[in-house]
Amino acid sequence: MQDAQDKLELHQKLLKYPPFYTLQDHKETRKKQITQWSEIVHLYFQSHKILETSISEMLNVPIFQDQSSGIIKKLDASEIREILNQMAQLGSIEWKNDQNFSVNLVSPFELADAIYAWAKEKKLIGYTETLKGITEGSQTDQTKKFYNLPQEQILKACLILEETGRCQVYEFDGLYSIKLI
Amino acid sequence: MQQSLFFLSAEMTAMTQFNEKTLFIYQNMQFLDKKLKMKVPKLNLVITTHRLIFTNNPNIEQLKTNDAQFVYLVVPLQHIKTVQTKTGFLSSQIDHINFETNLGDVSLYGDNLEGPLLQIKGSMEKKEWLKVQEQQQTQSVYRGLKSELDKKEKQTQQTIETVQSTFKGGFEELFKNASELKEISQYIKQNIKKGENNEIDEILSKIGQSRLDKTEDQFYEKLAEQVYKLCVELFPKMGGIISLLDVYYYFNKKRNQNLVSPEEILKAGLQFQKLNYQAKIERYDGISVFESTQYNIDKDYENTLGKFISYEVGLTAEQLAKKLGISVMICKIKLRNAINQGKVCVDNRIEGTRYFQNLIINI
Repeated sequence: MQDAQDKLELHQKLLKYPPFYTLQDHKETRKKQITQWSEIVHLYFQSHKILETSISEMLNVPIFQDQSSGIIKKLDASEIREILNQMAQLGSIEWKNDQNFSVNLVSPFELADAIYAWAKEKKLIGYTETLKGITEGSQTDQTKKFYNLPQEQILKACLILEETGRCQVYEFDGLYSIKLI
Repeated sequence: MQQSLFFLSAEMTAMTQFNEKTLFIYQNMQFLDKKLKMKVPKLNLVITTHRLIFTNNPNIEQLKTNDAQFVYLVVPLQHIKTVQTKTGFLSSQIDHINFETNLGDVSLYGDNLEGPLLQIKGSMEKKEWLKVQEQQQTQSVYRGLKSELDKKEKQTQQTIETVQSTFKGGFEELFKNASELKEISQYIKQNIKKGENNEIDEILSKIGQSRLDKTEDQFYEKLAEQVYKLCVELFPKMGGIISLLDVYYYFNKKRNQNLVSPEEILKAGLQFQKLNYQAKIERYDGISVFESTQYNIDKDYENTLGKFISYEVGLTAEQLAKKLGISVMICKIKLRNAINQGKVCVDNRIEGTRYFQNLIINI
């Protein structure tokens, strides 16, 4: 909790620091800068529950704009793309094409753990469940991280569970179901 | 007591200009010099085509140059810029007339000033003094060849007199005054052929000369020595980096003559390493600079930029250069070094580029 609070304070400090809106030439500084931007953007996606968006929409996002001096200073498209590429490497987003991308509010590994823990809680081990049933079924609720997430993300998490021997994934006619082991 | 600028002697007052005529004389007038706050009463005002003469001389029309016991205050009409009348507080009659002139402001007091006012304005409109000047100019155009020759001869005579006064006593007198210089040049003449002589080299370098050595390399080595001496003087003031342009300027300022070109100074600088001097030539963004080998970026940052740059307030290169007393070019080089070290961050905006202390690297 303390860490989260410290992070928030740090982010607020950085967002008030004018050079933060210019990608620095110094390698080490740039690396840290991109990392911090990735965290800030990821938190922004989480708080606004953004699952899909594009670079052109991101240009108008307020966090990328600094109004400390008279004229607004914004990050341009190439700079935003650099930040998003870093996020894609960390698994936070996935590119659909050159402009559009989907957002993984929770990482696939986290999701996989959350699904297995839920299955254990609801005594669903040994039973088969559809992907829709996992995200929207009667046994799930809004408190769960996987609630109402896109099926692609749930499938990824299930594939991770399969890799770790905790489930089996079946596909029939484009529809997927899993058996938790 | 300060004298009024309008005060003239009888002799000067009597010198009438060409075509000047007396128009009217008014009695019992008062003259006020506003600057001196001096009011002179009971004067006669003589209005001519060219001037206003205030005097207590009752026979002004037969004025003689030795009439020194009287007062004469003269206002040339051509110097009057504005004329303003002032009425009394409760009446519409003119109380006094104010004149704004090139020599200062004056006022005329008296009864029935309407008449004098009209006369004065009339004279000012006619501008009789200009007619005189045109006639004189016309006369000078048609003076003839003889007068032109006379004029030339006069000018030549004046020049001869000037030159002669300068060379009073002739050249021998001049040489007597230059005896010390003569002794030095004789000494150099006798000793210069004997080879290395530090004393002569020092004398020559102080007057901006160096001996013409046998080879080009030797010349550049000598020059390198002199340039290095200058760099050693300047490094502490300039923070360890001096641009080639600055070295060129300061070096030639000392010499005053037979100036050395920037290429020669650069070639001399390239000899530094070979001669084991503690300076070198570096290039930053196409700009050649002389840099001390003892130049430490960290220490230099602490002593210079580090004192003015902070996390909160960003400064431009020009502002920093002004605070440090160095050129903008050198300041930008120092900033570039500091950025490469991760000490400074750049904020690029439409308003310009500002520099801040690096907060991000300390996360």
